[in-house]
Amino acid sequence: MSLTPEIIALLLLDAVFLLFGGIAFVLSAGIAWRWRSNETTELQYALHRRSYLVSVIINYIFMLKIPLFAFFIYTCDKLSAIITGAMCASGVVNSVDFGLYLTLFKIVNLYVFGFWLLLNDADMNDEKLPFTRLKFILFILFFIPLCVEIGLEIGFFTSLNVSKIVSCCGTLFSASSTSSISLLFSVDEKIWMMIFYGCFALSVAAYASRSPLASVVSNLLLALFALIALILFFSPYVYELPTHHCPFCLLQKEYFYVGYLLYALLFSGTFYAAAGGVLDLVQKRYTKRFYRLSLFFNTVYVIGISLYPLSYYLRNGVWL
Amino acid sequence: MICLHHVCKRFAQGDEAIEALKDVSLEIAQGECVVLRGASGSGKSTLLSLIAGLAQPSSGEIRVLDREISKLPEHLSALFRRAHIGFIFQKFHLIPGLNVEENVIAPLIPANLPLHVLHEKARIKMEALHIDSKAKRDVKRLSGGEQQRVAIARALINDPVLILADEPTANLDAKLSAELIEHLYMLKQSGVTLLIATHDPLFFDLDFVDRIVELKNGRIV
Repeated sequence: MSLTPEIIALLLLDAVFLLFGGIAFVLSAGIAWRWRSNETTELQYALHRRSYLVSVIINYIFMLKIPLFAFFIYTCDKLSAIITGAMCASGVVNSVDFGLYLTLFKIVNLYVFGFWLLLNDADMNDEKLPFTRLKFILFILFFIPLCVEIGLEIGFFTSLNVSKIVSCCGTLFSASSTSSISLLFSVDEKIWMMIFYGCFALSVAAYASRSPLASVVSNLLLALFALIALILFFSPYVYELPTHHCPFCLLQKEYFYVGYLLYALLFSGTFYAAAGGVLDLVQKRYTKRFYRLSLFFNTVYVIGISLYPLSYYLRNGVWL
Repeated sequence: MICLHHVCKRFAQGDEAIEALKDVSLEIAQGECVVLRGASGSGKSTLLSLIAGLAQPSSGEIRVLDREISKLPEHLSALFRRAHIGFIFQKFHLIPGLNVEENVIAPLIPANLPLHVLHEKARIKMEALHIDSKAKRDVKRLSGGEQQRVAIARALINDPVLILADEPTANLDAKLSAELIEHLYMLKQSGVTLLIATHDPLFFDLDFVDRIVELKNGRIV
Protein backbone atom coordinates (compact mmCIF):
# COMPACT_ATOMS: atom_id res chain seq x y z
CA MET A 1 0.00 0.00 0.00
CA SER A 2 1.37 3.42 -0.87
CA LEU A 3 -0.03 6.40 0.96
CA THR A 4 -0.05 9.38 -1.37
CA PRO A 5 -1.68 12.63 -0.20
CA GLU A 6 -4.69 11.86 -2.42
CA ILE A 7 -5.16 8.38 -0.91
CA ILE A 8 -4.82 9.76 2.62
CA ALA A 9 -7.45 12.41 1.81
CA LEU A 10 -9.84 9.80 0.39
CA LEU A 11 -9.35 7.42 3.32
CA LEU A 12 -9.81 10.20 5.87
CA LEU A 13 -13.02 11.28 4.14
CA ASP A 14 -14.18 7.67 4.12
CA ALA A 15 -13.66 7.55 7.89
CA VAL A 16 -15.62 10.79 8.32
CA PHE A 17 -18.44 9.49 6.11
CA LEU A 18 -18.58 6.24 8.06
CA LEU A 19 -18.72 8.06 11.38
CA PHE A 20 -21.35 10.63 10.42
CA GLY A 21 -23.19 8.17 8.16
CA GLY A 22 -23.37 5.76 11.11
CA ILE A 23 -24.81 8.48 13.36
CA ALA A 24 -27.29 9.45 10.62
CA PHE A 25 -28.18 5.77 10.15
CA VAL A 26 -29.12 5.32 13.82
CA LEU A 27 -31.06 8.60 13.94
CA SER A 28 -32.77 7.85 10.61
CA ALA A 29 -34.07 4.56 11.97
CA GLY A 30 -35.62 6.40 14.94
CA ILE A 31 -37.19 9.08 12.74
CA ALA A 32 -38.54 6.62 10.15
CA TRP A 33 -40.04 4.48 12.91
CA ARG A 34 -41.78 7.23 14.87
CA TRP A 35 -42.58 9.91 12.24
CA ARG A 36 -46.28 10.89 12.20
CA SER A 37 -46.68 13.93 10.02
CA ASN A 38 -50.20 14.83 11.21
CA GLU A 39 -49.40 14.82 14.94
CA THR A 40 -48.30 17.91 16.89
CA THR A 41 -46.89 16.24 19.98
CA GLU A 42 -43.62 17.11 21.65
CA LEU A 43 -42.04 13.99 20.20
CA GLN A 44 -43.00 14.96 16.65
CA TYR A 45 -41.51 18.45 17.02
CA ALA A 46 -38.33 16.89 18.41
CA LEU A 47 -38.25 14.51 15.43
CA HIS A 48 -38.92 17.45 13.11
CA ARG A 49 -35.83 19.28 14.37
CA ARG A 50 -33.77 16.09 14.38
CA SER A 51 -34.84 15.23 10.84
CA TYR A 52 -33.52 18.58 9.65
CA LEU A 53 -30.12 17.92 11.25
CA VAL A 54 -29.92 14.36 9.91
CA SER A 55 -30.97 15.49 6.42
CA VAL A 56 -28.16 18.04 6.43
CA ILE A 57 -25.61 15.37 7.45
CA ILE A 58 -26.75 12.93 4.75
CA ASN A 59 -26.98 15.73 2.22
CA TYR A 60 -23.34 16.69 2.79
CA ILE A 61 -22.14 13.07 2.63
CA PHE A 62 -23.91 12.38 -0.66
CA MET A 63 -23.09 15.75 -2.15
CA LEU A 64 -19.41 15.22 -1.43
CA LYS A 65 -19.47 11.70 -2.87
CA ILE A 66 -20.25 13.14 -6.32
CA PRO A 67 -17.08 15.23 -6.85
CA LEU A 68 -15.11 12.60 -4.93
CA PHE A 69 -15.82 10.13 -7.72
CA ALA A 70 -13.90 12.38 -10.09
CA PHE A 71 -11.20 12.74 -7.43
CA PHE A 72 -10.96 8.95 -7.11
CA ILE A 73 -10.37 8.63 -10.86
CA TYR A 74 -7.88 11.51 -10.74
CA THR A 75 -6.06 9.71 -7.89
CA CYS A 76 -5.90 6.48 -9.90
CA ASP A 77 -4.63 8.44 -12.89
CA LYS A 78 -1.91 10.01 -10.75
CA LEU A 79 -0.96 6.63 -9.28
CA SER A 80 -0.27 5.32 -12.78
CA ALA A 81 3.06 7.19 -12.60
CA ILE A 82 4.28 4.89 -9.80
CA ILE A 83 2.68 1.59 -10.79
CA THR A 84 4.77 -0.34 -13.29
CA GLY A 85 3.01 -0.89 -16.59
CA ALA A 86 0.11 1.43 -15.94
CA MET A 87 -0.25 4.26 -18.45
CA CYS A 88 -3.43 5.79 -17.03
CA ALA A 89 -6.10 5.21 -14.36
CA SER A 90 -7.20 2.09 -16.25
CA GLY A 91 -4.04 0.15 -15.37
CA VAL A 92 -4.34 1.16 -11.71
CA VAL A 93 -8.06 0.31 -11.53
CA ASN A 94 -7.43 -3.09 -13.11
CA SER A 95 -4.38 -3.84 -10.99
CA VAL A 96 -6.79 -4.95 -8.25
CA ASP A 97 -9.25 -7.79 -9.03
CA PHE A 98 -12.32 -5.81 -8.09
CA GLY A 99 -11.05 -2.38 -9.25
CA LEU A 100 -13.27 -2.18 -12.32
CA TYR A 101 -16.31 -3.36 -10.35
CA LEU A 102 -15.57 -0.73 -7.71
CA THR A 103 -15.53 1.95 -10.41
CA LEU A 104 -18.80 0.70 -11.90
CA PHE A 105 -20.31 0.46 -8.42
CA LYS A 106 -19.29 4.06 -7.77
CA ILE A 107 -21.06 5.12 -10.96
CA VAL A 108 -24.25 3.33 -9.92
CA ASN A 109 -23.97 4.96 -6.49
CA LEU A 110 -23.73 8.38 -8.12
CA TYR A 111 -27.26 7.84 -9.42
CA VAL A 112 -28.50 6.31 -6.17
CA PHE A 113 -27.10 9.04 -3.91
CA GLY A 114 -28.11 11.72 -6.40
CA PHE A 115 -31.66 10.41 -6.30
CA TRP A 116 -31.69 10.77 -2.52
CA LEU A 117 -30.54 14.38 -2.91
CA LEU A 118 -33.39 15.12 -5.32
CA LEU A 119 -35.87 13.44 -2.98
CA ASN A 120 -34.56 15.44 -0.01
CA ASP A 121 -34.82 18.65 -2.02
CA ALA A 122 -38.42 17.85 -2.98
CA ASP A 123 -39.22 17.07 0.65
CA MET A 124 -37.62 20.19 2.13
CA ASN A 125 -39.34 22.46 -0.37
CA ASP A 126 -42.81 21.13 0.35
CA GLU A 127 -44.31 22.51 3.55
CA LYS A 128 -46.08 19.21 4.22
CA LEU A 129 -42.73 17.35 4.19
CA PRO A 130 -44.29 14.49 2.22
CA PHE A 131 -41.16 12.36 1.79
CA THR A 132 -39.56 12.60 5.23
CA ARG A 133 -40.27 9.02 6.23
CA LEU A 134 -39.48 7.69 2.74
CA LYS A 135 -36.14 9.49 2.51
CA PHE A 136 -34.98 8.16 5.87
CA ILE A 137 -36.07 4.61 5.00
CA LEU A 138 -34.16 4.98 1.74
CA PHE A 139 -31.10 6.26 3.58
CA ILE A 140 -31.20 3.19 5.81
CA LEU A 141 -31.13 1.11 2.60
CA PHE A 142 -28.56 3.33 0.83
CA PHE A 143 -26.25 3.17 3.83
CA ILE A 144 -25.46 -0.40 2.77
CA PRO A 145 -24.03 0.54 -0.68
CA LEU A 146 -22.28 3.50 0.97
CA CYS A 147 -20.53 1.15 3.42
CA VAL A 148 -19.80 -1.39 0.68
CA GLU A 149 -18.28 1.33 -1.49
CA ILE A 150 -16.15 2.63 1.35
CA GLY A 151 -15.10 -0.90 2.27
CA LEU A 152 -14.16 -1.67 -1.33
CA GLU A 153 -12.30 1.61 -1.65
CA ILE A 154 -10.26 0.93 1.49
CA GLY A 155 -9.65 -2.62 0.20
CA PHE A 156 -8.65 -1.25 -3.19
CA PHE A 157 -6.08 1.17 -1.86
CA THR A 158 -4.64 -1.34 0.61
CA SER A 159 -4.34 -3.95 -2.19
CA LEU A 160 -2.39 -1.66 -4.52
CA ASN A 161 1.08 -3.04 -5.05
CA VAL A 162 3.57 -0.72 -6.70
CA SER A 163 6.04 -3.55 -7.34
CA LYS A 164 3.49 -5.61 -9.30
CA ILE A 165 3.56 -5.22 -13.08
CA VAL A 166 0.12 -4.41 -14.49
CA SER A 167 -1.31 -4.35 -17.99
CA CYS A 168 -1.70 -1.04 -19.78
CA CYS A 169 -5.03 0.20 -21.11
CA GLY A 170 -4.17 -0.79 -24.70
CA THR A 171 -4.29 -4.43 -23.61
CA LEU A 172 -7.18 -4.13 -21.18
CA PHE A 173 -9.56 -2.46 -23.63
CA SER A 174 -9.03 -4.69 -26.63
CA ALA A 175 -10.45 -7.85 -28.17
CA SER A 176 -7.54 -9.79 -26.67
CA SER A 177 -8.36 -8.76 -23.12
CA THR A 178 -8.91 -11.61 -20.70
CA SER A 179 -11.79 -9.77 -18.99
CA SER A 180 -15.43 -9.68 -20.07
CA ILE A 181 -14.71 -6.39 -21.88
CA SER A 182 -13.39 -8.46 -24.82
CA LEU A 183 -16.96 -9.70 -25.40
CA LEU A 184 -17.98 -6.18 -26.41
CA PHE A 185 -15.41 -6.25 -29.19
CA SER A 186 -17.09 -9.27 -30.77
CA VAL A 187 -19.87 -6.95 -32.00
CA ASP A 188 -19.14 -4.49 -34.81
CA GLU A 189 -18.48 -1.05 -33.31
CA LYS A 190 -20.84 0.58 -35.82
CA ILE A 191 -23.68 -1.40 -34.26
CA TRP A 192 -22.81 0.01 -30.83
CA MET A 193 -22.70 3.45 -32.40
CA MET A 194 -26.15 2.99 -33.92
CA ILE A 195 -27.56 1.67 -30.63
CA PHE A 196 -26.13 4.74 -28.88
CA TYR A 197 -27.77 7.17 -31.31
CA GLY A 198 -30.95 5.08 -31.12
CA CYS A 199 -30.99 5.45 -27.32
CA PHE A 200 -30.48 9.18 -27.63
CA ALA A 201 -33.38 9.36 -30.11
CA LEU A 202 -35.46 7.34 -27.62
CA SER A 203 -34.64 9.77 -24.83
CA VAL A 204 -35.69 12.70 -27.03
CA ALA A 205 -38.92 10.87 -27.87
CA ALA A 206 -39.49 10.24 -24.15
CA TYR A 207 -39.02 13.97 -23.52
CA ALA A 208 -41.54 14.78 -26.24
CA SER A 209 -44.03 12.24 -24.86
CA ARG A 210 -43.68 13.74 -21.32
CA SER A 211 -43.55 10.26 -19.86
CA PRO A 212 -41.38 9.92 -16.70
CA LEU A 213 -41.21 6.15 -17.04
CA ALA A 214 -40.04 6.32 -20.68
CA SER A 215 -37.46 8.92 -19.65
CA VAL A 216 -36.12 6.70 -16.87
CA VAL A 217 -35.77 3.65 -19.13
CA SER A 218 -34.37 5.49 -22.17
CA ASN A 219 -31.83 7.44 -20.13
CA LEU A 220 -30.57 4.41 -18.23
CA LEU A 221 -30.12 2.67 -21.58
CA LEU A 222 -28.43 5.78 -22.94
CA ALA A 223 -25.98 5.86 -20.02
CA LEU A 224 -25.06 2.22 -20.57
CA PHE A 225 -24.74 2.30 -24.35
CA ALA A 226 -23.04 5.71 -24.37
CA LEU A 227 -20.23 4.22 -22.25
CA ILE A 228 -19.96 1.18 -24.52
CA ALA A 229 -20.04 3.31 -27.68
CA LEU A 230 -17.44 5.62 -26.16
CA ILE A 231 -15.08 2.69 -25.59
CA LEU A 232 -15.80 0.84 -28.82
CA PHE A 233 -16.47 3.56 -31.37
CA PHE A 234 -15.66 7.12 -30.28
CA SER A 235 -12.44 6.83 -28.25
CA PRO A 236 -10.21 5.90 -31.24
CA TYR A 237 -11.31 9.18 -32.86
CA VAL A 238 -10.42 11.16 -29.73
CA TYR A 239 -6.95 9.57 -29.63
CA GLU A 240 -6.73 9.34 -33.43
CA LEU A 241 -5.44 5.80 -32.94
CA PRO A 242 -7.54 2.99 -34.43
CA THR A 243 -6.66 0.42 -31.76
CA HIS A 244 -6.84 2.59 -28.64
CA HIS A 245 -10.15 2.23 -26.81
CA CYS A 246 -9.38 3.28 -23.24
CA PRO A 247 -12.15 5.28 -21.49
CA PHE A 248 -9.67 6.61 -18.91
CA CYS A 249 -7.01 8.20 -21.15
CA LEU A 250 -9.62 10.83 -22.02
CA LEU A 251 -9.05 12.19 -18.53
CA GLN A 252 -5.41 12.96 -19.16
CA LYS A 253 -3.71 16.25 -19.89
CA GLU A 254 -2.72 15.12 -23.43
CA TYR A 255 -6.41 15.16 -24.33
CA PHE A 256 -7.10 18.41 -22.47
CA TYR A 257 -8.93 16.53 -19.67
CA VAL A 258 -11.89 16.33 -22.06
CA GLY A 259 -13.05 13.14 -20.36
CA TYR A 260 -14.07 15.04 -17.23
CA LEU A 261 -16.34 17.26 -19.31
CA LEU A 262 -17.74 14.40 -21.41
CA TYR A 263 -18.47 12.19 -18.40
CA ALA A 264 -19.95 15.10 -16.44
CA LEU A 265 -22.31 15.85 -19.35
CA LEU A 266 -23.28 12.21 -19.82
CA PHE A 267 -23.84 11.45 -16.13
CA SER A 268 -25.67 14.73 -15.49
CA GLY A 269 -27.89 14.31 -18.53
CA THR A 270 -28.90 10.75 -17.85
CA PHE A 271 -29.13 11.36 -14.10
CA TYR A 272 -31.64 14.20 -14.29
CA ALA A 273 -34.05 12.22 -16.45
CA ALA A 274 -33.55 8.87 -14.69
CA ALA A 275 -33.54 10.04 -11.06
CA GLY A 276 -35.95 12.91 -11.74
CA GLY A 277 -38.23 10.47 -13.55
CA VAL A 278 -38.26 8.08 -10.59
CA LEU A 279 -39.02 11.01 -8.30
CA ASP A 280 -41.85 12.10 -10.58
CA LEU A 281 -43.24 8.56 -10.55
CA VAL A 282 -43.20 8.68 -6.74
CA GLN A 283 -44.76 12.17 -6.66
CA LYS A 284 -47.18 11.40 -9.53
CA ARG A 285 -46.30 14.63 -11.29
CA TYR A 286 -44.18 15.93 -14.18
CA THR A 287 -41.25 18.22 -13.35
CA LYS A 288 -40.26 19.75 -16.65
CA ARG A 289 -36.99 21.17 -15.24
CA PHE A 290 -35.44 17.69 -14.85
CA TYR A 291 -36.12 16.65 -18.43
CA ARG A 292 -35.05 19.98 -19.87
CA LEU A 293 -31.73 19.78 -18.05
CA SER A 294 -31.36 16.18 -19.15
CA LEU A 295 -32.09 16.99 -22.78
CA PHE A 296 -29.64 19.89 -22.68
CA PHE A 297 -26.76 17.86 -21.17
CA ASN A 298 -27.43 14.81 -23.35
CA THR A 299 -27.59 16.90 -26.51
CA VAL A 300 -24.35 18.71 -25.71
CA TYR A 301 -22.73 15.34 -24.97
CA VAL A 302 -23.96 13.78 -28.23
CA ILE A 303 -22.87 16.80 -30.28
CA GLY A 304 -19.52 16.95 -28.49
CA ILE A 305 -18.67 13.28 -28.88
CA SER A 306 -19.94 13.17 -32.48
CA LEU A 307 -17.64 16.01 -33.47
CA TYR A 308 -14.58 13.77 -33.02
CA PRO A 309 -15.34 11.23 -35.78
CA LEU A 310 -16.84 13.96 -37.97
CA SER A 311 -13.83 16.22 -37.77
CA TYR A 312 -11.55 13.22 -38.31
CA TYR A 313 -13.47 12.28 -41.45
CA LEU A 314 -13.48 15.85 -42.77
CA ARG A 315 -9.73 16.15 -42.24
CA ASN A 316 -8.74 12.72 -43.51
CA GLY A 317 -11.56 11.58 -45.79
CA VAL A 318 -11.77 8.15 -44.10
CA TRP A 319 -13.33 6.57 -41.01
CA LEU A 320 -11.19 4.69 -38.54
CA MET B 1 -56.33 34.07 10.26
CA ILE B 2 -54.44 32.83 13.33
CA CYS B 3 -55.34 29.62 15.12
CA LEU B 4 -53.42 28.26 18.08
CA HIS B 5 -54.39 24.87 19.37
CA HIS B 6 -53.05 23.63 22.74
CA VAL B 7 -49.68 25.28 22.25
CA CYS B 8 -46.93 24.68 24.80
CA LYS B 9 -43.41 26.03 24.74
CA ARG B 10 -40.66 24.88 27.06
CA PHE B 11 -37.12 26.19 27.28
CA ALA B 12 -34.28 24.30 28.86
CA GLN B 13 -32.25 26.26 31.38
CA GLY B 14 -29.52 23.99 32.65
CA ASP B 15 -31.24 20.92 34.03
CA GLU B 16 -34.44 22.85 34.52
CA ALA B 17 -37.26 23.18 31.98
CA ILE B 18 -39.03 26.52 31.95
CA GLU B 19 -42.56 26.44 30.61
CA ALA B 20 -43.07 29.74 28.82
CA LEU B 21 -46.48 28.84 27.36
CA LYS B 22 -48.92 26.33 28.78
CA ASP B 23 -51.74 24.91 26.69
CA VAL B 24 -52.53 28.15 24.87
CA SER B 25 -55.47 28.07 22.46
CA LEU B 26 -56.49 31.22 20.62
CA GLU B 27 -58.22 32.29 17.42
CA ILE B 28 -57.88 35.65 15.74
CA ALA B 29 -60.00 36.60 12.75
CA GLN B 30 -58.81 38.52 9.71
CA GLY B 31 -58.81 42.29 10.24
CA GLU B 32 -59.06 41.95 14.01
CA CYS B 33 -56.90 44.00 16.37
CA VAL B 34 -55.97 42.01 19.45
CA VAL B 35 -53.91 43.26 22.35
CA LEU B 36 -51.94 40.66 24.27
CA ARG B 37 -51.61 41.91 27.82
CA GLY B 38 -49.36 40.56 30.50
CA ALA B 39 -46.49 41.29 32.83
CA SER B 40 -42.87 40.77 31.81
CA GLY B 41 -42.15 37.07 31.53
CA SER B 42 -45.77 36.11 30.99
CA GLY B 43 -44.99 34.63 27.55
CA LYS B 44 -46.16 37.44 25.23
CA SER B 45 -42.97 37.67 23.17
CA THR B 46 -42.68 33.89 23.00
CA LEU B 47 -46.20 33.68 21.64
CA LEU B 48 -45.48 36.31 18.98
CA SER B 49 -42.29 34.58 17.88
CA LEU B 50 -44.17 31.26 17.58
CA ILE B 51 -46.89 32.89 15.47
CA ALA B 52 -44.22 34.46 13.26
CA GLY B 53 -42.53 31.07 12.85
CA LEU B 54 -39.33 32.39 14.44
CA ALA B 55 -39.47 29.50 16.89
CA GLN B 56 -41.19 26.14 17.05
CA PRO B 57 -43.61 25.15 19.83
CA SER B 58 -42.80 22.18 22.03
CA SER B 59 -46.23 20.79 21.26
CA GLY B 60 -49.53 21.96 19.80
CA GLU B 61 -50.48 23.43 16.46
CA ILE B 62 -50.21 26.96 15.07
CA ARG B 63 -51.94 27.88 11.84
CA VAL B 64 -51.52 31.26 10.20
CA LEU B 65 -53.47 32.01 7.00
CA ASP B 66 -54.40 28.34 6.96
CA ARG B 67 -50.76 27.23 6.85
CA GLU B 68 -49.31 25.12 9.62
CA ILE B 69 -46.45 27.50 10.37
CA SER B 70 -45.32 25.52 13.40
CA LYS B 71 -44.17 22.68 11.16
CA LEU B 72 -42.68 24.62 8.27
CA PRO B 73 -38.99 24.05 7.57
CA GLU B 74 -36.95 27.12 8.47
CA HIS B 75 -36.39 28.40 4.93
CA LEU B 76 -40.10 28.04 4.10
CA SER B 77 -41.18 29.86 7.25
CA ALA B 78 -38.79 32.68 6.29
CA LEU B 79 -40.47 32.86 2.88
CA PHE B 80 -43.88 32.86 4.55
CA ARG B 81 -42.88 35.69 6.89
CA ARG B 82 -41.49 37.70 4.02
CA ALA B 83 -44.74 37.33 2.09
CA HIS B 84 -47.35 37.81 4.82
CA ILE B 85 -46.03 39.04 8.16
CA GLY B 86 -44.61 42.32 9.43
CA PHE B 87 -42.85 42.30 12.79
CA ILE B 88 -42.32 45.41 14.91
CA PHE B 89 -39.75 44.78 17.63
CA GLN B 90 -39.48 46.47 20.98
CA LYS B 91 -35.85 47.44 20.38
CA PHE B 92 -36.39 48.21 16.65
CA HIS B 93 -33.50 45.91 15.56
CA LEU B 94 -32.45 48.24 12.77
CA ILE B 95 -29.20 47.42 10.98
CA PRO B 96 -26.52 49.89 12.04
CA GLY B 97 -24.33 51.17 9.23
CA LEU B 98 -27.21 51.14 6.77
CA ASN B 99 -29.25 54.24 6.07
CA VAL B 100 -33.01 54.57 6.53
CA GLU B 101 -33.92 53.52 3.00
CA GLU B 102 -31.61 50.51 3.07
CA ASN B 103 -33.09 49.37 6.37
CA VAL B 104 -36.61 49.70 5.01
CA ILE B 105 -35.70 47.73 1.87
CA ALA B 106 -33.80 44.99 3.76
CA PRO B 107 -36.65 42.41 4.06
CA LEU B 108 -37.18 42.47 0.30
CA ILE B 109 -33.56 42.05 -0.75
CA PRO B 110 -33.80 38.22 -0.98
CA ALA B 111 -36.87 38.59 -3.20
CA ASN B 112 -34.65 39.67 -6.12
CA LEU B 113 -36.94 42.51 -7.16
CA PRO B 114 -35.55 45.16 -9.52
CA LEU B 115 -33.85 47.98 -7.66
CA HIS B 116 -36.24 50.67 -8.93
CA VAL B 117 -39.21 48.66 -7.60
CA LEU B 118 -37.53 48.40 -4.17
CA HIS B 119 -36.83 52.14 -4.11
CA GLU B 120 -40.40 52.95 -5.14
CA LYS B 121 -41.88 50.67 -2.47
CA ALA B 122 -39.56 52.17 0.17
CA ARG B 123 -40.44 55.72 -0.93
CA ILE B 124 -44.18 55.07 -0.51
CA LYS B 125 -43.73 53.63 2.99
CA MET B 126 -41.29 56.33 4.08
CA GLU B 127 -43.62 59.08 2.85
CA ALA B 128 -46.54 57.57 4.75
CA LEU B 129 -44.46 57.59 7.93
CA HIS B 130 -42.90 61.02 7.27
CA ILE B 131 -39.31 59.79 7.20
CA ASP B 132 -38.71 60.27 3.47
CA SER B 133 -36.63 63.40 4.10
CA LYS B 134 -34.21 61.26 6.13
CA ALA B 135 -33.93 58.42 3.62
CA LYS B 136 -30.16 58.69 3.27
CA ARG B 137 -29.41 59.24 6.94
CA ASP B 138 -27.66 56.58 9.01
CA VAL B 139 -30.20 55.03 11.39
CA LYS B 140 -27.86 55.51 14.37
CA ARG B 141 -28.31 59.26 14.00
CA LEU B 142 -32.10 59.17 14.33
CA SER B 143 -34.18 59.82 17.42
CA GLY B 144 -36.07 56.97 19.13
CA GLY B 145 -39.34 57.96 17.48
CA GLU B 146 -37.75 58.15 14.05
CA GLN B 147 -36.12 54.77 14.55
CA GLN B 148 -39.50 53.33 15.49
CA ARG B 149 -41.03 54.73 12.30
CA VAL B 150 -38.21 53.18 10.25
CA ALA B 151 -38.96 49.87 11.97
CA ILE B 152 -42.65 50.23 11.08
CA ALA B 153 -41.83 51.12 7.47
CA ARG B 154 -39.62 48.04 7.32
CA ALA B 155 -42.42 45.89 8.76
CA LEU B 156 -44.81 47.25 6.13
CA ILE B 157 -42.54 47.10 3.07
CA ASN B 158 -43.88 43.68 2.04
CA ASP B 159 -47.52 44.83 2.43
CA PRO B 160 -48.22 42.24 5.15
CA VAL B 161 -51.69 41.06 6.05
CA LEU B 162 -50.59 40.46 9.63
CA ILE B 163 -48.61 42.80 11.88
CA LEU B 164 -47.07 41.47 15.07
CA ALA B 165 -45.88 44.19 17.41
CA ASP B 166 -43.85 43.38 20.51
CA GLU B 167 -43.98 46.16 23.12
CA PRO B 168 -44.02 48.79 20.37
CA THR B 169 -44.17 51.78 22.76
CA ALA B 170 -41.64 50.55 25.32
CA ASN B 171 -38.95 52.94 24.10
CA LEU B 172 -41.17 55.86 23.15
CA ASP B 173 -42.39 58.90 25.06
CA ALA B 174 -46.10 59.75 25.31
CA LYS B 175 -46.17 61.91 22.15
CA LEU B 176 -44.39 59.33 20.00
CA SER B 177 -46.55 56.56 21.47
CA ALA B 178 -49.65 58.48 20.37
CA GLU B 179 -48.15 58.82 16.88
CA LEU B 180 -47.49 55.08 16.75
CA ILE B 181 -51.04 54.31 17.82
CA GLU B 182 -52.26 56.54 15.00
CA HIS B 183 -50.23 54.48 12.51
CA LEU B 184 -51.59 51.25 13.93
CA TYR B 185 -55.10 52.62 13.64
CA MET B 186 -54.54 53.40 9.96
CA LEU B 187 -53.26 49.88 9.41
CA LYS B 188 -56.33 48.43 11.09
CA GLN B 189 -58.52 50.62 8.84
CA SER B 190 -56.79 49.17 5.78
CA GLY B 191 -57.75 45.63 6.83
CA VAL B 192 -54.46 44.49 8.33
CA THR B 193 -54.71 42.09 11.26
CA LEU B 194 -52.88 43.39 14.32
CA LEU B 195 -51.57 41.46 17.29
CA ILE B 196 -49.91 43.74 19.81
CA ALA B 197 -48.09 42.39 22.84
CA THR B 198 -47.83 45.10 25.47
CA HIS B 199 -48.24 46.01 29.08
CA ASP B 200 -48.67 49.72 28.20
CA PRO B 201 -52.10 50.83 29.54
CA LEU B 202 -52.41 53.19 26.54
CA PHE B 203 -53.59 50.26 24.45
CA PHE B 204 -56.25 48.99 26.80
CA ASP B 205 -58.87 51.68 26.14
CA LEU B 206 -58.41 52.18 22.42
CA ASP B 207 -61.58 52.10 20.30
CA PHE B 208 -60.02 50.14 17.46
CA VAL B 209 -58.84 47.31 19.70
CA ASP B 210 -61.34 44.48 19.29
CA ARG B 211 -60.13 42.25 22.08
CA ILE B 212 -57.70 42.12 24.96
CA VAL B 213 -56.22 38.73 25.78
CA GLU B 214 -54.42 38.42 29.06
CA LEU B 215 -51.47 36.11 29.58
CA LYS B 216 -50.34 35.13 33.05
CA ASN B 217 -47.51 32.70 33.70
CA GLY B 218 -47.82 31.32 30.19
CA ARG B 219 -51.57 30.76 30.32
CA ILE B 220 -54.49 32.73 28.90
CA VAL B 221 -56.64 33.94 31.77
